[in-house]
Amino acid sequence: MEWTRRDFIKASAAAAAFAAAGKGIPGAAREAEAADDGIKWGKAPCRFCGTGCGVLVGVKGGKIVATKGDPAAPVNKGLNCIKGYFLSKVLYGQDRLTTPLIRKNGKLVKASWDEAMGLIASKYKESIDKNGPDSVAIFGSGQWTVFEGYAASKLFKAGIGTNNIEPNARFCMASAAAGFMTTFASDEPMGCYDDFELGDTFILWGSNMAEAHPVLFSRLIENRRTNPKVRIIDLATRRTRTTRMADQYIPFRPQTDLALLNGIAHVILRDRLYDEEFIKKNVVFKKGKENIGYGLEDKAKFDDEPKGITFEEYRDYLKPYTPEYVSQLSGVPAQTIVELAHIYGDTGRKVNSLWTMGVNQHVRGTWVNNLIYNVHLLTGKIGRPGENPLSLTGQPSACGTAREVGTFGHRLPADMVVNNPEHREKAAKIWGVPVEKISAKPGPHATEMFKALDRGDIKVMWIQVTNPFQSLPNLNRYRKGAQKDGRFIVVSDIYPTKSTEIADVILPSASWVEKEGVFGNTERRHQQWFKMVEPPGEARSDLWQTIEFAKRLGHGDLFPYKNVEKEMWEEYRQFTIGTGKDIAPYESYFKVRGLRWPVVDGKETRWRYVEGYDPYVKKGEGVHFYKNKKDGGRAVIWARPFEPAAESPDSQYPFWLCTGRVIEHWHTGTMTGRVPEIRRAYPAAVVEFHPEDARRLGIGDHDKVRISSRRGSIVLPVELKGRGTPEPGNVFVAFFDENKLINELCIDAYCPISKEPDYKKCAVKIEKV
Amino acid sequence: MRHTLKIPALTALLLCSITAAPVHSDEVPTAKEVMEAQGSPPLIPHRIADNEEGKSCLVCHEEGVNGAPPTSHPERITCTQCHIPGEVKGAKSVGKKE
Repeated sequence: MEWTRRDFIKASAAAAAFAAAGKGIPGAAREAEAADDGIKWGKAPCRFCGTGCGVLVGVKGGKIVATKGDPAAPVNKGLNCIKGYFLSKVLYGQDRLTTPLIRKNGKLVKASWDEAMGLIASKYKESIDKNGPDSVAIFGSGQWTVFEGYAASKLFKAGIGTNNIEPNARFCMASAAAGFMTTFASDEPMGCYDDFELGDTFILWGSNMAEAHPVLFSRLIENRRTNPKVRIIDLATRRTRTTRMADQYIPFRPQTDLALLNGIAHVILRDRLYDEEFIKKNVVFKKGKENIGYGLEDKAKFDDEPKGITFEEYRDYLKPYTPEYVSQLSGVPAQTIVELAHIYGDTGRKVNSLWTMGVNQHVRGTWVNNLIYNVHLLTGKIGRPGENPLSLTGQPSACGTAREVGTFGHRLPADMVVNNPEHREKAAKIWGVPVEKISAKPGPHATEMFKALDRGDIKVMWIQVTNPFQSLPNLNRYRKGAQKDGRFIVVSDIYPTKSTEIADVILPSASWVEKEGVFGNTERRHQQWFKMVEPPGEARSDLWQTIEFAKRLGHGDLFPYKNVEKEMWEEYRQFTIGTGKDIAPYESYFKVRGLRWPVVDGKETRWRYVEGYDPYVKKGEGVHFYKNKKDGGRAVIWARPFEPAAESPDSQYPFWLCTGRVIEHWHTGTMTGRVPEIRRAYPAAVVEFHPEDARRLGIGDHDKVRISSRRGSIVLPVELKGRGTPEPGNVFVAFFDENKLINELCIDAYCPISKEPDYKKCAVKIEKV
Repeated sequence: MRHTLKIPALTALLLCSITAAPVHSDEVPTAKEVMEAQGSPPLIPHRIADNEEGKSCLVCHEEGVNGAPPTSHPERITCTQCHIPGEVKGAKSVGKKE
């Protein structure tokens, strides 16, 4: 759908009130005149994070000349963050990749698509013939459009016959997904962003929303401005911009969120703050394996062994987690723990929990997700409007593509898994292949996939829309492993990155509105957009690349579409119908600013599992966790213990290292780093310190220090009055800077259930240089 | 004096709305007004502390003290969500001093 200027002005009338920056904006008048010269406007979700802000994209002369927050988009209501305001520039960096490149004798040489595709297909065929289909792989992304992820999954699972497909979402949302699956037997949240206005209490578990989800944070702040009851509580290991705007800051020691949540549950039971009726009707109790390790060894295996327990057994299990004991572990005063429990249990408060990477990138990430749900399930504050736990996502389609399409080694679309024969049967039927074609053996998770590449078990890998050779933990091992003889790496991207540096073939991709697509955001909202501009040079979409590759492997019949996106969507839709994850016909998404699934009879769903909102919940049922059939439509409260991190500070490496983001840059900075204004505002990584620690070590502001772990070592300037201030004993470094690869220091320990690595905790030492 | 808006009622409507309801207006602004209003938020032409708070921005930008341009949206206090430091002319520093 294209908009004329008139349509745009009509739709955005009210937005004038929003971003109005007053008089004297340099260039504003010129820009306004340009608007009279036939700028065409279209709608798209933002290219960056999982919030899914709507933007209006202004196109003139075949180029994006402006982007604006879309006032008709319910997610952001006309607002953007600084990354969104510069969207028009992210595709126009000077070093944009425009032709395929093949590495010949160590040098990158321009090639035709035919030559590049021929080479890639021959390398895949050779490896499959010689070593079997499990010797090849594809590593994709939560930035894949739904179509790109679907095509890759179908080709690898139903064509090549391997489950060697993983997304970078394994590094980001896997613990959230495993938390949903273990507690509710269905991925993705019951609540939605409407809770930001309907709720009055927002408890942030290690989430710097002001920088990582700024538009959503501004909705909380706006709610508080008009409702004096609103409280924002920030639980974290570092003072951030979020802390400064929160009503209460509760610092805790890394890893002790496990203990804190059990302590809160202990007090909820002790002081009878729980909703007995809700528990009786909607909850079962279980206990799993303990002392589950950290997956540090190659080919580590883990299967949980859930056992049913009673409410009384669960209460006994929590007995040791007294406020006093938890206080000793966490550093949070016992009284504060009691207060938190009473806030969660206050029937006069609508309480929401929010979290992202602090909880997910955690060696017990699945457990922390479980424990947050425990507190909501105990108090019955779940499902109902205005009081929900909500896992915020980091990528624009981590939900829509990686999790819903199921581009993981163990998954199939719509909550199905490869090691379930009925699920394989259903997938094979929709995909039109014999069921034997889909392997029952789950593929390796992302970290293990790169270990397999290092060992040589996987020899050929294609990487699309992601930059693992900057973002993997314990980076040195995997960078070296990928460069060993006999490995063949293909990277599709729009700019040179730390991953194209290692590639044997680089393919130039189309990005964002240079192609048609659908993203699915945090709140189950699918947002569709049309192609608005041509990609530069010979760049082509990853969807085109995958289908072209399939043809050369002899799997072209998997993609018989004429109207590719439309037909592929309708095929994918068959997986979802009747499952409670229903999506709508493709055309339904053309004009609206997204629809939240399940969409039944043309109506989206704001709250899952709730009568009156979710069409799958029958009259009189109230709340019904109908996806968890094996537990009688009930959710699971898990008894999960506190266990320490994989590596804690000691005398040799005395500090905790936490990595993360800043508002200006997104992930590895390959897009935001190409916008001059953003680069100028935040040019390079620094290490943040607590001033007391700095004083003790004799380190001054802006001094250079060497920061080292057992795995790597880099030099960084110190920032004592910077963006954030870690608690004493902690340091923080952002990971966007490709010249300062902080992930070389990170440990590749992961949650044995979700297989998501812990980028938030390892031990480092600091030396002045 | 604060810069007055042409459509103040819509501010309230938009800020309070929590649904996808399309916004209606009797008064359609000109293209120039829309572009001015929606143009990328201006960069900050002076130094700020990296941990600056919205409250301290408003000391000058709420009313327009010392020649600072007054903001049209003083209710929005997450300033650095949209405004980032740009080119700094001269050595002028504003905000917290350490």
